Amino acid sequence: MAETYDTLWNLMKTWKRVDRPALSFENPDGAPLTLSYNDLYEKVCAAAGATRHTATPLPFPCIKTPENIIDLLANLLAGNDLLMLDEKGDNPGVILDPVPDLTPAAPGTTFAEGVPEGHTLFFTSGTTSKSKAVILSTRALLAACKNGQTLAPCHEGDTILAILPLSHVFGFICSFLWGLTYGACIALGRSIREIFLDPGYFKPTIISAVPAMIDVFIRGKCLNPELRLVILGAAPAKPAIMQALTDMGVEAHLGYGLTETASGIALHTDDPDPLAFTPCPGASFTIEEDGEISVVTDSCMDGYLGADSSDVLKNGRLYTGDFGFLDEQGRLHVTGRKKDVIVLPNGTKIFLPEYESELMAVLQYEDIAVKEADSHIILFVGGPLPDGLSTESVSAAVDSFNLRKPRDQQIGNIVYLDNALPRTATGKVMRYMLHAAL
Amino acid sequence: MALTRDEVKSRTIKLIHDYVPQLENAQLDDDSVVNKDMGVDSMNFILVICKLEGEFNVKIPQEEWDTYRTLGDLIDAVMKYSKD
Repeated sequence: MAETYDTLWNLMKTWKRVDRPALSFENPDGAPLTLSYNDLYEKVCAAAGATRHTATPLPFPCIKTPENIIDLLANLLAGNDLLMLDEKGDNPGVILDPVPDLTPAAPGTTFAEGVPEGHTLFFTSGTTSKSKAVILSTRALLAACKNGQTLAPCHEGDTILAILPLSHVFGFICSFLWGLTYGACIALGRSIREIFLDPGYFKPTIISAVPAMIDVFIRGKCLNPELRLVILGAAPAKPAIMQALTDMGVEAHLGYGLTETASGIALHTDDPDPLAFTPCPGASFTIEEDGEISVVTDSCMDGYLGADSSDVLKNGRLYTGDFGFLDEQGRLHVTGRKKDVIVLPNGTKIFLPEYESELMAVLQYEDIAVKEADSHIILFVGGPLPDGLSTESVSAAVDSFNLRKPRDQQIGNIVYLDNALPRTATGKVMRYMLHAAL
Repeated sequence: MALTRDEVKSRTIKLIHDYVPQLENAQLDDDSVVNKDMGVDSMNFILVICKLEGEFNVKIPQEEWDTYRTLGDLIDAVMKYSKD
């Protein structure tokens, strides 16, 4: 059973006098350099003692170096709230005016044992709406680490390659804090230029990644033979990716979770359904009357920064916005996003991922999405069209598709885009941006 | 011996066919779009540039990667930086 740490300070006390490498990072002259757990402990304590508490969240830039990590941990210990920004330092569309004060401690307080720790604020991906800053306590982040450790443990001999942005909660937990909590070494990925060389350089035993990313690593033959475990998240994984990893002798798991739950709260283990997940011990799922998945979990957010969360967080229960069901074995099956459903005027529900898969098969083309406008279903086709596909052939295929559907479920209009559909970094279509094309 | 443009082109097309699933059977010419505007995943595009760097032993400045859109842009980059 994984140990539980409720505070960062309690976790860090276990690092004292441990000589094992905690961080591995680039050495321009050759083999990677390392920093031991004890050295990290000493440096964070020294930095925290010199860090002043501030009343408002500190914008925190990307985490790339050991110095960034020391700064981050020191600020949390000093009780500061950190607003995680991406590499460019962008605040992705969130208006923080006024910025709420999350902690009552007086400005100017410096770190001392027992002082309440700060919160870490992560932005949601903005797949279905504008992104929001999610407030996560250190307790919630450490609970997420424990949850993952119970189903797919890492060990003291492991090296976890951190190539995901640590400003996103999936990367922060699954390629950083989880490893440090259970004694692994975190290899800090170098720049994007070296991303495909990093596995050979750091020789990781674990990589956490989004499926599209690991697919490219596999195709480019960039994975190292020491790799034993891949944790995937943020998007569904094609069975071919899971199979390719299995064929390489690598254990692969897809996680289910949200930024609001500090990353994974369920993990795909050995079910033939790729979207069937074993709930983590700290997560209790319920299927609501309309089919929405709700969860009570010790890794749940405190709320959104500067935005109302009362519609998704009620009495400690988080409403995920996903549809699904629990099978007889208690496994969670995720069937889709609530916002990916069109409700027609007659009450018929059209589940977009299913509908779009059917269309993709008919069109033999994947860069499509549908959306409802003025009670009609509109098909958006990303461009430019590949060889063998034309507007005429698309129209003909849609006509034959429509013949198989009741009138109210037929495609009413086709919109051709000059460029590919707008997608998030994980490949999800940003449906709310499609309106601009109408 | 200096690389010819035709040689760079044929080897670049082979790399794209090998590493970009969306374009594995595509007829490619200088003005063929090979980046995200063609639905090519950004990681895939980066892989192609990294493989090009290895194939031709060149270093293409990272700040220019976003400006490449067509096969011709990639060939020009290899030709330009293989001369430096």
